[in-house]
Amino acid sequence: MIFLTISRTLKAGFKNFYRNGSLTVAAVSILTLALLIISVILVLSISANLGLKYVQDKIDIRVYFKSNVQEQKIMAFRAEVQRYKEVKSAEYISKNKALDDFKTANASKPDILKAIEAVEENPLLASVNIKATNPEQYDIIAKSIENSNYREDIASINYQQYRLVIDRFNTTIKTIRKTGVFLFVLFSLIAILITFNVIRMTIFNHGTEIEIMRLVGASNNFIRLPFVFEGVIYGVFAAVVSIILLFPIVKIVTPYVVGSAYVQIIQSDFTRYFILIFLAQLLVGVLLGIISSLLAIRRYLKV
Amino acid sequence: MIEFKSVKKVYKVGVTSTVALDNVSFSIDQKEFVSFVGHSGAGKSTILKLIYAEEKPTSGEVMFNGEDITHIKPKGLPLHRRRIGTVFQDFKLLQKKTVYENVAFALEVSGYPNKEIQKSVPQILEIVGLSNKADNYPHEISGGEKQRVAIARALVHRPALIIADEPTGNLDPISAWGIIQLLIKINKLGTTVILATHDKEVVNNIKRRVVTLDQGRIIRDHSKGRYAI
Repeated sequence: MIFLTISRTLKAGFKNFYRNGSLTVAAVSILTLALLIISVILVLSISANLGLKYVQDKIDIRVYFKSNVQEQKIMAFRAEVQRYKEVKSAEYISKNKALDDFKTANASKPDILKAIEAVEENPLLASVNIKATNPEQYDIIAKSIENSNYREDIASINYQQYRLVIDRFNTTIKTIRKTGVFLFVLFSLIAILITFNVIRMTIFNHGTEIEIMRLVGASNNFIRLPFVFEGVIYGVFAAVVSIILLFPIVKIVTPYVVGSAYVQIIQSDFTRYFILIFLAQLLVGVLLGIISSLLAIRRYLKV
Repeated sequence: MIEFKSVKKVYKVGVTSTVALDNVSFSIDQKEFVSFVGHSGAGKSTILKLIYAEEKPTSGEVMFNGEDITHIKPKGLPLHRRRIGTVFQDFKLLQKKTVYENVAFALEVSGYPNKEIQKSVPQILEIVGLSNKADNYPHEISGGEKQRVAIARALVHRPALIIADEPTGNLDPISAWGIIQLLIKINKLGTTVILATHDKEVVNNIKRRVVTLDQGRIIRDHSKGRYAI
């Protein structure tokens, strides 16, 4: 009985869907638009978050010591810094290690390698790389190092260059969330309104049919389900269309949000988010479809 | 089978209210053939609507098989409707479905299995004499035939009661008489028939119980009645 009801009403829902012509196109396109807007918002905030995480992983404070400072003293500094509760890790990089790293980093540039070998003494400075538990604490850490007893031995503290990037990501994420929620609510309402009207037109076209159904004793569910399925089909279609449209949009839009330097990294991470986004679209699309059709049919089922 | 106990029905449109039925009481037994007659607005259709629970009485009670349907819940309505077959003046056929599909539709929406539909529909079309028109669309058949399709649809789920509201209103006298004979045949097969009409010829030829209504009141109720207003 349940199976029969579902198969019969599903069939009726499909029929409504493809017989409605331009109405179907209208409903699917407005739902697609609403879904695209949430997807773009999702994509933007995911990529901004990915970018932020990537940058945060790279961030550290490098404290360079003057070349005459003894290794012992540097180790003492490291030990003291590690006691700060804001510090996650502090890594000592000796002059030799710094040279090796430099050589590997520039392995493909023989000119530079030659130049560095030409200098008899190792020109690089020993350093301590400090990572904070929370990126916002770099300021405090840097300040306390500047004011510590070691300030005479320190050649330079290097961290400023990342601050701009972090700030930029943080503001982007905040803006995306604010405008995103607003746009999403707005377009969902528009989508519900239009789908509601499309389904109401369908119901209107099926007036006699519904009247007969009621007269011969069709249950309310039997009358309601074809229209609910119609809404579901609109939602599924819209989800498929919008995921197809989303690929090129992501390609075009991400560079503006995260800066072209990070696009490569983010997009490689992105593929696995697509399934998630598609599922979200499907869910929202189907929900919008169901809500609209239930609203539209409600009036016709009152006794 | 059906009992009306002091039923009053008032329709309210804005500030004006119209009394459609005023303190109406009667009862109809199983397998009866009852004709309700009267002018337009006498209350015939309202009585029928109260029976298939399309309307609720303003006061009083409507009983169906000993069950009070005055306050029937929306959930119980479909099951109630499946005990009744309805036929109307305007046929209410689906233009995009064939004769066969129109009749089958009534069973489909009530959740009957396909096998039973394939068995019942041809049988019913045979009874109403439309076996040869099964694949025609409503616009391809005559008015009388359309009404036969409607009767077939009303009958197909084997209801205990057939309600016919002016079924001959749109038909020529010969087709009309054909429909009435069909209803009499159905009645003889054991189904209760309630007919609402203002067709004098029809009523006088049936020679069954006639209830005459005027301005919402029963003014006559004769077991072998005639149309007389």
